[in-house]
Amino acid sequence: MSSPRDSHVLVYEDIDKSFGGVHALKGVSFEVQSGEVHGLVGENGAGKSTLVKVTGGVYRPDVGRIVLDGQVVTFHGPRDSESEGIRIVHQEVPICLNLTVAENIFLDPSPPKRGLLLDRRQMNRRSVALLKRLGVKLDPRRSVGLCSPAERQLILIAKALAENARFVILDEATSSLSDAEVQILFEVMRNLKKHGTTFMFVSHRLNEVAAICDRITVLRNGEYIGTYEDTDPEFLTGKIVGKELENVVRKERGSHHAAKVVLDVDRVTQEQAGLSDISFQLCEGEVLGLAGLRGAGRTELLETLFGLRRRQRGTLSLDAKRTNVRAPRDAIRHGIGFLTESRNEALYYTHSVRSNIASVIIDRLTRYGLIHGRRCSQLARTHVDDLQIATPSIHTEVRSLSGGNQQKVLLARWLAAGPRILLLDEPTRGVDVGAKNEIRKRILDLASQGVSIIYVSLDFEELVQVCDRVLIISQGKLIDELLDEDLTVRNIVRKINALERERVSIHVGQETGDGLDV
Amino acid sequence: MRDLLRRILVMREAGVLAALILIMLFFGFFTSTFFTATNLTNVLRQSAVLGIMTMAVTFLIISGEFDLSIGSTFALSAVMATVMMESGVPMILSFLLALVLSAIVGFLNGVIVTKLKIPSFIATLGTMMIIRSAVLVASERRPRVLGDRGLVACVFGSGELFGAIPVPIVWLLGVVVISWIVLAKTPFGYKVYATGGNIQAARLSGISTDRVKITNFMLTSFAAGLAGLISLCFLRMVAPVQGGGYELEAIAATVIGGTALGGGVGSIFGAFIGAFMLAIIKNGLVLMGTNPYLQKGVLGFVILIAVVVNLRLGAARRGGRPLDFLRRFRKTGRGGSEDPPASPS
Repeated sequence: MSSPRDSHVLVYEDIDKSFGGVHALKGVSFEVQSGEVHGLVGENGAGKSTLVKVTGGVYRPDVGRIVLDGQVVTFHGPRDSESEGIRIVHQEVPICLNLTVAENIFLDPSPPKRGLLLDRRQMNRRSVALLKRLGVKLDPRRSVGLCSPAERQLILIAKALAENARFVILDEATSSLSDAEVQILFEVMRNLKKHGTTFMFVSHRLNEVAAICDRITVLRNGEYIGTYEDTDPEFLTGKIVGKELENVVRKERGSHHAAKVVLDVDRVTQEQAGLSDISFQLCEGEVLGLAGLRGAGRTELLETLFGLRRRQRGTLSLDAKRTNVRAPRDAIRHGIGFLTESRNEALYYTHSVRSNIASVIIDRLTRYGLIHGRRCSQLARTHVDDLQIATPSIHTEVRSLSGGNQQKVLLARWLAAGPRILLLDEPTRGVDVGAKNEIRKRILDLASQGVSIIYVSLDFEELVQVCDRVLIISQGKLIDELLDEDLTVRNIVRKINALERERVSIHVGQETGDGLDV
Repeated sequence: MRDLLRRILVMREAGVLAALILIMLFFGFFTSTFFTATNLTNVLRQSAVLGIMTMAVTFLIISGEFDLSIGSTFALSAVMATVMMESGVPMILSFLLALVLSAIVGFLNGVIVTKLKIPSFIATLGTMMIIRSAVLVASERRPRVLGDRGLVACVFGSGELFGAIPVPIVWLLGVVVISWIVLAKTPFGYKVYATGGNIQAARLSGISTDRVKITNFMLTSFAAGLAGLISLCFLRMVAPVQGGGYELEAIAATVIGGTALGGGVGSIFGAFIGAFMLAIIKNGLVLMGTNPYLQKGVLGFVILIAVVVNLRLGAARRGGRPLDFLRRFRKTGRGGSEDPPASPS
């Protein structure tokens, strides 16, 4: 290939990488221009992470090369990549919660010293300067444990700047942020872009990709599909999946006013989680959404209903009978299932797909007191086929599956238990488009079979698509209810914004609230 | 053939089994007495006391805890049995009471660890010292002798099945088989793996993880008590300082057998091989006439090598970098996984 023009910071030439039998990248070539935000999208398994790791020096390509500012570079490890000014901000934030903001920023580049001692004053001063460049006001002496996820993400970017990054890769960096927080991050990115920093933005959330990226590269099955200036999510979805997507068939938004009340939550209060006087009813076959920002109490409410947190006051009634749910065991016995947001919390990574699926009902899969292996296998096979879980076998360890398939394994676990009430916390987070639709469809099927569902998601579009009714939660209180024609993304955002505007603790140059309308 | 090789290589216990065979061949080659029925019976008999404890310790470690007090509990059970007998309690009753006492010790260990949320290392370090002290006081610091040679003593340790197999071996094999069935085949065993594999996930699946752990602490102390009684009947005496060191040897045997100290992974078969291997090495070194002071050092090396090999084989099984050639034996397709299973660090 000819020598690249000046405007190209980074050129990938024929990058090829295999792991054993897995061909992760097949001759990928494209260019990232200086000062742009370059999107990188694709399904799980498309090769995004591999490409990011090749750029970061974690892997070396089998074939092909990376050209940086017109020079071929070879990275023998992350250090080499970093010394060229490339920084990667990952999904899981590697940050020391026990240290202060400034200490985290100077964790890696050696901190300023006076003699043998740390020069804290200079460290704090330089941190303030760096954060100022991002347009963020944060006390450098604050403990990071007290910062919000967005603030932590910003601290990492500040850290990257401290190391003179000129090419920053954000690898699913927004997946744990709320919409308002994402807007703050984007504002910072736009600021830095003006000063010449180049970004690569890797994400599953096409709305965000559309909002921030100048150009977008699509990968599919390790192949380069194209780089586009068209950021229309529908167009991109077509490129990502490579076939027409089967749209989620939305059942008629049901009116469950007449239906039987399955769960009656009456003035539930849980002080540690900040929940106060939560009351609502859940009907048979209803999909009830719960919308709110991170920290509003959504997850905490589900945990309380499932018996993971003990409530101080209030009652739960199942089928109009007062029920005492003290531990998950009780909840499960009463037919409640809980799909948690964090897969780490719920999966046995070193165990097989079969073992993971059977875990809730293992006591029922026995004969003469011994586990009935054949029935476990049957159960696992049924669900693997049903949810189209891509796994070499039911005996494969779940840690070698992709995120979307791991999520399906967890869903299968609860489907196997046959619950009457299913609590879902971000069931499609960090999952690719195809799997997302399958999971949603399966959930709607369940509802039509009479299972009642509480659905928590930061993806408000998803809530509008899937739910019959949405409750708005803020600061541990239920404050509103949206149903019928009022149930729109715009309305959800408005309700939340109105309440949260004064709470957003990071002040960015301009008001970002209105930018939330999707 | 290739398939057979593959199946053996992916077995968790492949490494330790191969090592055991090599070590046995080594001693067989350098001594004339190693491969005799008498000697091998002897080794198995010697491994019984440690082996029984190792089985229970394996449960405990898989569920994510461990117990430093078993050496003390071992002595407690034997000493208390003799003390009770001397004060006129029938032998069978004093044995049963000693076992109950052991189980109570385990219950306390479990409650301290799970309810007071004290790490098991600290909690059982404390109970180890407390129990040892109690043993020294109760025994008046002198060895206790078992005078009785009746049926109970016979059943617990001094007898021989069919006039050839020492009873401790029968106990060992019984405990091994029962442990294997319970751990590999029952819902309880499943819950032990689940608790150690991911305690949050286990709770979310409705498993009462505290109950699992307390049960395992009780099993462990019970096994230590049983081993103490077997040893008492076989040796016809117990010294109040006896049993010290068993806690670490049992952990070593478990770990050699491929159990991860972090919990969630391991097997009874591996732990049994581990315990047997320790006995073989001790026996072989004696037969070869090596300096007895070298024994501990050799065992130390074996433990370190075993752990390294287990880690490497584990990585290879998951398709990691070490021993990459093994991949050819695996039929992995593109599982739709974004990250290849290897996690280079």
